[in-house]
Amino acid sequence: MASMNLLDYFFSNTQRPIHKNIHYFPIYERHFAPFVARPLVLFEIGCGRGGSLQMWKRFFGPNALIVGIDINPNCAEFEDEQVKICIGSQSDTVFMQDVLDRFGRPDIVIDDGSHIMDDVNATFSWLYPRMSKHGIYLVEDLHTAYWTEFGGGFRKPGTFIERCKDLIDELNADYTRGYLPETEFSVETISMHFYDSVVVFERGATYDKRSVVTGDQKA
Amino acid sequence: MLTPATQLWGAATVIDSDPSTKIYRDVIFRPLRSHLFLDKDPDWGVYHADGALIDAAAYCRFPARTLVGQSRVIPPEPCGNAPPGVYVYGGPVIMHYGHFITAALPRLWQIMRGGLPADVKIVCHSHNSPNLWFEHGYIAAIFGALGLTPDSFAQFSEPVRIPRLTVSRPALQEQTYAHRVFRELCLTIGRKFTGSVLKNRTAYLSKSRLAAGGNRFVQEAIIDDVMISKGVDVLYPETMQFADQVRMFGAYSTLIGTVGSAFHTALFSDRASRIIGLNPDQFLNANHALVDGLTGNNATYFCAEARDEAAGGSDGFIWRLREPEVIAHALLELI
Repeated sequence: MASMNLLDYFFSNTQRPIHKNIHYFPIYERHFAPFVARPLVLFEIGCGRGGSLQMWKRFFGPNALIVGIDINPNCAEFEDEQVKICIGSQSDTVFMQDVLDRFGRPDIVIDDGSHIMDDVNATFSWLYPRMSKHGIYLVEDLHTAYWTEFGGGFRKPGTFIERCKDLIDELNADYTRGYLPETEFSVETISMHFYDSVVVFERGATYDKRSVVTGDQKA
Repeated sequence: MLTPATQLWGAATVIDSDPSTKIYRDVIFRPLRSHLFLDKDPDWGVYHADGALIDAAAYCRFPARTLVGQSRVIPPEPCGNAPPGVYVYGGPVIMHYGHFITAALPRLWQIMRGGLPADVKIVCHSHNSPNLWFEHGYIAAIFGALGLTPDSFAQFSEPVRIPRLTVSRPALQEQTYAHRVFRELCLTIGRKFTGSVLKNRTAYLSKSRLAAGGNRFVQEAIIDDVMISKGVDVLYPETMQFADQVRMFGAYSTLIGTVGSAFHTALFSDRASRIIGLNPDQFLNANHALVDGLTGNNATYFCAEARDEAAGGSDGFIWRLREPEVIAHALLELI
């Protein structure tokens, strides 16, 4: 099934407003395309003015359940037959557990919430291990990791960007010769992708890491 | 007189993610042999049915993952079956405060997260029975805070096959790394012992009354006297209840002392501390850096430049300071 072009949808949107950076759209298409037209639970943290929820609904098709999470009670009006809204804080684990209980493990998470480092970190720590074993976790607007008003700063310990640098090492834990152990993250993550302001995690397991040579030396 | 002890003995990496947890099937649990220290015992450990050591269940130190006893492979031999049940691995329970914190506690983070269902037993390696563990105040307090009793544990004195064993990797490996969940675990325990009265004072943690143990200075009583004369409270952690030691870290703004496992108790206190540690040489055991990395302690460690060689003693870890009074005053100037 050919998927719709998200950027075309964005520029032709006349419905609820969508606020996204233009360069995010190829990122979405690259990582979300395999999920189009499949049964899916998507959490979008931060509902904005509701337009992106509608965009995901159109993009993924009728088998996708779109769950919007926001602290603003006015976002409840975005709810429809395929879009469900939960009002609460993304770093409140009791609230997030309730969301999980209601809708199940998400296959895709888009963190477009407060963009405050403590919130981004807390949400990732709690939600990433609890999402589908084969899913996508995308954090956007990570330029805030460099901005003090969001708890960020250049190479400031504890920002999500700095954490991701450590996670690169965890992803390669097997090769650190003992400096890092296998972690929950390292055994449940296939890849990390870094873009301007966006980090994408692809969940899954790598079962076979053998280094193999094939072919006939005489050939 | 004092120079910073900046060289780590080991590594100290703090890891945000949780350790991994896996279920192993048809494993062989080999107990400690009663007449050997565990680091001299090549037979103990948890092994696959083919005799290969299960790495996730191994007790290791240092980045090289140096095995503490155990063997990479042990020839399989017939053994009986463990009683039917559900088992999780708890690691080695060593009856020494520091090693208990750094070796026994780090595998219990999953218990903190999910609790221990009534039908599940924690299987540990130890020279002593769970009932004896609980006779030690700190073990009773720490395990008790997690809701554990002697009945929570299973222990086997002979090798047994276990059909299904859940192994969580440890949240701390000595001299190597610590996961943040270890701090979460310790705070969960420590918050059972609240009630610190805040004092804008300094405490000196002394080993001068400690009968045994490493990294002691023979003239530490002289340091004690100087500290007392300057209004510092001199405390002897081994004489205190565990709960009071936790409260101590919550109460005092600055803690000074010879480097030792008493400082590990900071893990259980919400309050980050200013710590000034006196180390016998330049090489600081990386476990202290791990504790400080998890707690956010503002810690600095020094060695006494004018120390003599080890003064002897049964364990060889006793040191003689050349000028203990001068060192005491130098420590006070660092506050």
